[in-house]
Amino acid sequence: MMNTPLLYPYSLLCELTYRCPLQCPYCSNPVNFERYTEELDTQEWQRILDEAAALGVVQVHFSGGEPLLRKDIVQIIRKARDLNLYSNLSTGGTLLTEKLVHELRSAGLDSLQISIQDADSLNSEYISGGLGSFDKKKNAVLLAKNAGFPLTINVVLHKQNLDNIEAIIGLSEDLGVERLELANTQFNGWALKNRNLLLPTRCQIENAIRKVKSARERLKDKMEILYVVSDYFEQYPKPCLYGWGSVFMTVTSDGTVLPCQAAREIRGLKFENARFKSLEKIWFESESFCIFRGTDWMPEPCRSCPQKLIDFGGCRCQAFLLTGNAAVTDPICSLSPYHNIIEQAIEETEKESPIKWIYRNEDESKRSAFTPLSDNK
Amino acid sequence: MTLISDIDIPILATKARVKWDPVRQKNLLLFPEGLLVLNQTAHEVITMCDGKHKVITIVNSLGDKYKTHVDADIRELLSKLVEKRLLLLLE
Repeated sequence: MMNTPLLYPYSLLCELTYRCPLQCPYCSNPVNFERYTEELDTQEWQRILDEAAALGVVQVHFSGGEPLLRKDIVQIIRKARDLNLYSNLSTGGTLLTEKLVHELRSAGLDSLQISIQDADSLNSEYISGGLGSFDKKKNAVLLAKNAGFPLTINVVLHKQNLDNIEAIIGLSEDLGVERLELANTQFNGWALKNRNLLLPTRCQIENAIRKVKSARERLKDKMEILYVVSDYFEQYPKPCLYGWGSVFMTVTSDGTVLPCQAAREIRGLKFENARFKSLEKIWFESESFCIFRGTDWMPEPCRSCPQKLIDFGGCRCQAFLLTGNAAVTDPICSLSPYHNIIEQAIEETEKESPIKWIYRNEDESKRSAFTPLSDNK
Repeated sequence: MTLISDIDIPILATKARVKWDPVRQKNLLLFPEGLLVLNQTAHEVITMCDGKHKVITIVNSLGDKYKTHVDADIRELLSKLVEKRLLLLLE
């Protein structure tokens, strides 16, 4: 099956919980998250970190949902530190307190990322669906800074906030953070459900890129600005995770082990659980990790394409969500026979439509159980 | 490219950490959402980026050790790390 040498994962994403006080309409959690309520306990997470370190993982990223909802978050982070793993925590920030931030620091957390939705409270809270969240987030940034954390502000970019990108950069500058990650929405999960409200126009993208470029120049000694492009406007797909089962794995709140955090939405693919099987066995032997590893699985136009070792055929999850088949070239690719799906979406987003989010919450998640797949497109 | 002068004193940023990886038998430089696999020279350079050594000292020390011209390589590495904000330069 495999045509690449044995690879060990470098990086592990731990989605500690799917619970979250916010309701961002582009959340990367699976749309049906509410059915996975049995969270791993502290000992199980600690064992998973042990297994991950033995398997070659050196970076561990804690996210959710909202990871600070876990009462044992400090214990879990201390375990990562004991294993000399580089640890990073992504939070919405609303639950951070002065006491907690110091506990996280002394437990050995290496880096902290706090999400911001927009530059002002009205827009931010309309996007996050969390009343009062904007001030709490700003406060969290200050708490983290005062505790001496290397801090990144994360902003997901989309149609409704892309025109405010200068103000967003300005806010981050005022808050004095050293790293700002501006990432265009990736259209899996909830984001795909809300795509007509989130996909920017080409004109918005071009303006944003120009503004980021000049801000980078202006702030080069103060702040690192990362900009993750919107793949919908690219000629070739993104090199998703540097290839399936190549450097990265995710363990979800209920112990399911995924090659990509969005993979759970690929129907028909069976995923193993870290409760019952070791990460090593899952990484090397499971069907879910082996199926798209390397290049043997590739169809045309990937198979004979010189790009195949650059973009690895793009995103398997996106291929599935847009075409119903995870084993085809990512439709982002201009050579994909399904590329018209992308062109159509870009055309449609030029039309104005009233903002009526499908917020990411339990009710909507339950409702999604009854949505036929074709409606996900 | 950031110019690195002889009298700069580089120090590793707090967000970056060097780790010996027992699985791959390599030294790694770890930082938020990324890592670099270090070869032996790069590892020795970074070990000397402790806020005590001038660039010229690092260059000379490794040049003496390896009896080759390592100056350009070292400055390129330092410059790359400064641009990623993983190294700070003290006056």
